[in-house]
Amino acid sequence: MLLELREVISGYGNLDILHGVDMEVDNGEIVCIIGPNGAGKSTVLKTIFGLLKPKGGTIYFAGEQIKGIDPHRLIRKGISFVPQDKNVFPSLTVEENLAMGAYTRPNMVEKGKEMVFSRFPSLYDRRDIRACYLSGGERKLLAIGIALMLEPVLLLLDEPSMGLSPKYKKVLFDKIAEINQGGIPILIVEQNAYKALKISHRGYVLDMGKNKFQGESGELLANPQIKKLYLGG
Amino acid sequence: MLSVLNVTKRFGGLTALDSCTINVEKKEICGLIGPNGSGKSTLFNVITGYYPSDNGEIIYNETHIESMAPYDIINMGISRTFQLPNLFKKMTLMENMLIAPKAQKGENIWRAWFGLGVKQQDYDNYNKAMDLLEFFNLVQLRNEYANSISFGQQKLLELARALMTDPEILLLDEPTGGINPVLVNKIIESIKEMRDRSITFLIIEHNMSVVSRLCDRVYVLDHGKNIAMGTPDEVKTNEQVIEAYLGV
Repeated sequence: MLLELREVISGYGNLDILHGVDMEVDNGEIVCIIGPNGAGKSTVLKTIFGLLKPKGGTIYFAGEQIKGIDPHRLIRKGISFVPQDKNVFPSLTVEENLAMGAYTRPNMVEKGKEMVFSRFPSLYDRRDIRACYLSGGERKLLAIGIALMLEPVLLLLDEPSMGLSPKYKKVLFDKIAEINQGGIPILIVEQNAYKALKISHRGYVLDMGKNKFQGESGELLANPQIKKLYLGG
Repeated sequence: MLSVLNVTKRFGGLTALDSCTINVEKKEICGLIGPNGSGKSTLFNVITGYYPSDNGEIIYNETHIESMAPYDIINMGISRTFQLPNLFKKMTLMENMLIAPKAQKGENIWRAWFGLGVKQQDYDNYNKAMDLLEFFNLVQLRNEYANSISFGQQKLLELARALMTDPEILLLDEPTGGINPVLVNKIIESIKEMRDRSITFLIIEHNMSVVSRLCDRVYVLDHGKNIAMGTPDEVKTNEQVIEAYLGV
């Protein structure tokens, strides 16, 4: 198992959000987390990435306990995280943003840029434009591009499709599937639950900081109770 | 009720709105869609006075509002939400709610001193805030700071706060973005119900199933220009809209 969370308790200050969450991601998988607002979905990602220090439980990544390790060290271990917002440097150009993604390993900048531009050709066309002038969809691709610069072993995505036009949503979900087929396992949080489950292998339903359901994506989509309670029928 | 006539807005060399025109009728739920970067949020910012327009007219209930300040515009009954929540982060949810209502009697020093009607109004506002927080499943969190709740919950709080101002027209910037599908259904129902109580809506939305279920008419923008207008079904089959926005 690449990533394994056991009984994780985490939150902000005195406010606990996760009350003992279990989760696993294996090599090659896209795993999707869905659930109501405030269920703790983003908190799971922030806790894995070391932005929040868990109060209890264990987190194993590639066989190693990573609980409480700082984000800059987790990046070196191969975990990349794309937050919900504030995920690009608005005043830097596309190319400069990508270079920032490989800040910790300057020798990977050129190689990484080449890889990202070949994956997202529209970013190559806009490489000299400042990120603040990109449309919402392109900015989202850039944020993912930055996360790919270090060739991560695990990619964490927090609601990548939010705010995107229907056309860009399709593009984005296709790209995510493509990145995964290129060999990168992905843990994704989404409110666009149908589309996210369609590209995922497995899914977890979180509610009130606890595991409610888990299983193959197809099973979750077909479950009438999940449909009613979490997918809106 | 609200008319935007040939409004243009430029940022340096970038023309965000290019002679854009929309009309919203009273008690209508009007949709505004278009690709990312087509000028939808800019239009909201221009209507609510955040950005001055470079050209064109904005008329609300027969009054020109294009050169008015945001605080005057909200007093005319135009309220809004933002795509990324814009809350008082170091205030609790309840405090965020209670700061919103207009014309609070306690803001007047004499009334505050002598308590003329202040208590009753505060009490009414508090009850209203509780009802709204209850509706959006936020009531247990009312004494938490606004920055400690999740992103989706912050969006809900912003919507609830906008409703505290008793608007005549409500401009919603992606109200269902990042919201759980079950709650999306609930929000759709509540918007319809508010319309029946004669609130008018102008809504930016990317979720086409929400647009179809909610909107009477839809305007489509691309590169700051109007490219289509009609019922959701008409717009969905428009070639230009499919090409620019929906994708095939």
